[in-house]
Amino acid sequence: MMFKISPENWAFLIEFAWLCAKAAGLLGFVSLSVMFLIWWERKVSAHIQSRLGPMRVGWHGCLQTIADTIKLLLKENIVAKDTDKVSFWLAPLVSFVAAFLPFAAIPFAKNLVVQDFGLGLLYIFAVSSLGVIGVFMAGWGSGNKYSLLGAMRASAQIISYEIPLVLSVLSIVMLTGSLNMTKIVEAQGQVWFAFSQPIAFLIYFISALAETNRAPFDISEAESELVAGFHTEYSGMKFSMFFLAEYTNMFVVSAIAATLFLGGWQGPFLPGIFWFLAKVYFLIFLMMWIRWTFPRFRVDQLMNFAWKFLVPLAFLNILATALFLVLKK
Amino acid sequence: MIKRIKRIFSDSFSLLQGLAVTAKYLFSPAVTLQYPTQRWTPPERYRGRVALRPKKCISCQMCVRACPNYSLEVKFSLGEDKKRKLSGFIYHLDTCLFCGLCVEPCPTAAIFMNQEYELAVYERKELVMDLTEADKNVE
Ligand code: SF4
Ligand code: SF4
Repeated sequence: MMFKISPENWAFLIEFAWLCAKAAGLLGFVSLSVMFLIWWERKVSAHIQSRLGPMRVGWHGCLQTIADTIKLLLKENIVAKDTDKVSFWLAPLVSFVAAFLPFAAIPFAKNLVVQDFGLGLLYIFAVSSLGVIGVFMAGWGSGNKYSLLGAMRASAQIISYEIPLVLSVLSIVMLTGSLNMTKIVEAQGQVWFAFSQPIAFLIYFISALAETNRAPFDISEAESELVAGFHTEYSGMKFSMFFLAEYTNMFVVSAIAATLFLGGWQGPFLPGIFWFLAKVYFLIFLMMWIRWTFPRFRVDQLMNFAWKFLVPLAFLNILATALFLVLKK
Repeated sequence: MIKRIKRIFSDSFSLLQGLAVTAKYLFSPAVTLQYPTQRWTPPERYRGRVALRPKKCISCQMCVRACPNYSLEVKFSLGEDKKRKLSGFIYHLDTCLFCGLCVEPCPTAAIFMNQEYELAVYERKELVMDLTEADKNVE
């Protein structure tokens, strides 16, 4: 069989190949970054607890994550008897893909973005909330009551916190009049939105912690009550996919926070990518710091906090922003 | 309402205080040891395993009687001069509870507790040792 490839198809193929290359590059970056973050978190948690953390593999244990990854890769693939095979197998993939997709619209630096969507922000929130489906599939597919409980909690939590999250971002959108990430960054040339919209930033950050299921909002994992929640039954590579998804999610929410509130790639002297990554890693450090400081919420406290505090506050913030915009006119 | 708002601020402040505490620990030195390479020196009166100065022991059996769970056995023979001669001092590390009661009655201070703390072995029978062998050179 022979296909005749017309010039248009050639153009399409080249563009497709270019996109694939970009995706592969991003995937490499994400994996490296996750490896670094896992090591970093172990170090931060250790030092907060007056320990040293990993010290043996490489300089101060910096190659520990690689050793752990190899160990996880070589592990036996355990599938419990009562699992729902399809959702059990698909869940880690869904989680990771949902965590990975938002990267397409995040501007790492000026012009360094996979696809500069007009509706970038909407796209990001749409795909990142798919992650909860993966979590629920994992809980359901495991055929284990702890996993199911963890998954139910996770779904309730993520859906509840999605609302203040999006509402807090809405005030930024009102100020810039655009959903395009690049435009939002450029609108912060004078003053970062973290300073002109501090309440929105706070709400965003708290909801982002809950979205990523990080302590103090980690009731879906809750080692001390639910074993490990939705990933109790997972081991080896499938477990590491969840791990990868968690840290990728942390990177994504921090990257969005850096873009929307901390001026994205903007900063003096050094190149944009440096500033962007510095802000992202600072926010991730903040998340780790919070995780190793505060105890876990109870389920009812968690829901109360979202619905009775964050949502009204976010609405008030939108109201104030709207008033400000009207008065300015 | 005002009370509630006040509480929101005071609670947020206490959260910041919590973060300050962990930040302080983050930058203070670690208290743990990197065990196989770094080691701890036990305090002078640390109760490690029971040890013997074989030359000093007069086989009087006081330690055997003091031991609450029969972890010691003293074996001896009678010499020409009717004096006891120590021929074996079996110590059962598996049943010893490190109480130190055997040390106190010894008239010649032959039995004592040393500073060893790495006492794990691969087989249970290695836990039963003859101290006249194991502590042959202890003075
Ligand atoms: S330390 Fe206590 S248990 Fe151990 S041999 Fe001496 S008396 Fe017996
Ligand atoms: S009490 Fe002292 S001298 Fe007497 S048998 Fe025991 S170790 Fe030897």
